[in-house]
Amino acid sequence: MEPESVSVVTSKPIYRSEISDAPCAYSLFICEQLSTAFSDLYQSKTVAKKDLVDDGDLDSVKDQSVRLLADAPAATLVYLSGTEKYMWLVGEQLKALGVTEDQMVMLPPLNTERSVFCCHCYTVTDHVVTAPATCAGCGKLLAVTDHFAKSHAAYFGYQVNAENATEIPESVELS
Amino acid sequence: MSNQIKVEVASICQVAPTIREFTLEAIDDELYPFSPGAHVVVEMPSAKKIYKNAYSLLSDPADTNRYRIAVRLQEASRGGSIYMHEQVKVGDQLLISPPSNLFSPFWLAKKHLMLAGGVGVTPFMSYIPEMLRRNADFELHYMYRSLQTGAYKNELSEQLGDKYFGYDSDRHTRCDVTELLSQQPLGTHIYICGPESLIQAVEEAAQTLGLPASVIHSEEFAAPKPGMPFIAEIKSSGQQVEVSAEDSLLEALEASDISVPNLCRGGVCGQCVCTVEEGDIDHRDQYLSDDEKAAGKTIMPCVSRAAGERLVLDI
Ligand code: FES
Repeated sequence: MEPESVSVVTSKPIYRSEISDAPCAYSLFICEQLSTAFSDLYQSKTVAKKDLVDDGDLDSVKDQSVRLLADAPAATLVYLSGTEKYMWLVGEQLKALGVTEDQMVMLPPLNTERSVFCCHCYTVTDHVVTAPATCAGCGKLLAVTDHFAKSHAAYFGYQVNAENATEIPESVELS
Repeated sequence: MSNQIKVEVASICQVAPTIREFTLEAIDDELYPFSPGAHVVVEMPSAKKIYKNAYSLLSDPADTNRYRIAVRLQEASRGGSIYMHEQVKVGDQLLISPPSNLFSPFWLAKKHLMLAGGVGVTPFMSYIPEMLRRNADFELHYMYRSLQTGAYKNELSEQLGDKYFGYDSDRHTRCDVTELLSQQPLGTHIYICGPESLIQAVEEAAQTLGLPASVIHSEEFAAPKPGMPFIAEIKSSGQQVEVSAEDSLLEALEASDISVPNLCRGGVCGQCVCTVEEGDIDHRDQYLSDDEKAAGKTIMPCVSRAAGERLVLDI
């Protein structure tokens, strides 16, 4: 039996692959891992000043963003590439520096992996590609919703078989 | 509105050639606290009709003993501001709405850039004391015509020092908005209060430069301007409501006992939105998006009118 859904909220971000040519005075390109596509994008943008950060480590990205954005103008655009989790966590760091969400251009994530927030033990389980997923914290079998929390860069998950632990729904691949 | 507050006009003073300031004190109850950028709707019972206009509170939000508002005499508009300027005397009683706020500062901003045009300086008068208390980074750019407006310019200049920039177009000093915006650092939020032309100029400059739309905030209460008379037909009852040249659609509906929820009565808050079944609309509000205006399916009756002779409302 399919469990009844506790959440119908759908807030899965939509990413666009074609990038419009918005005006700006400074562009910062941040990627988890430099791809040809991202490097081409960086090359193609004509802007008064631009920088490229190729770094998978969030702390070090943060330090570089603080330095690079210290004297940035209000007309700044930040391009982000990487996994969904990476882009949104970097996005959170950027927000603290005054970058608004409409100043960030996130490219389609590099893979379909999701991070799932367990509403029972609050652990975030990374690299989830199928649902239900086992929580890395409490071991409960979690339904993976499309309810995305930007600040956690994770999807809301809840126990799929709370009534009857022997019920194990069929595994489906996430998109 | 049954939750109106009765206030007494404690003092009146001319703060610019066409602007009068009114200090209002509570009669029965205490005044409500308010936040920077809040406004009240003042009821003005002129002989002809009751006008209701929104005015920003310009006193320090920390002072709940009195509210201050400033009213610019709008010769071209209907009677509201004329009533305030010519009829209201010290000691008179007025009814006002509790404060509400559609224009509060974004406190997480790294810097606040306020752009005021004429009497549009009023909401910033309540921002500034709070910004100073919070030690926020801000600038006030004040554009006025000293022959008409420019209220509080001297005290602001004195109080704010290098955070204050004045531009008097009667003395040919103008603000280069594009230049000003291009100098702003990342994290700046921009607040505009003034005539539509100023709001538009800033929005266009911001777009050209590439500033994100989310950092631009504006407020302009459009006191309903007169227009051509027309008929509003109520779809559900078939009732025909005549809207005279001087009345707003909202006022005409209210006069026919058709109540429509409303708050600002100035085309800003979105409360009064009505669905239009038939007829062209002359949109005059700041609330609907350009797309919504073009679609022609909704109207803000507090300020907007029919573009033709008839409008069918789905209410
Ligand atoms: S009452 Fe606020 S928009 Fe009409």
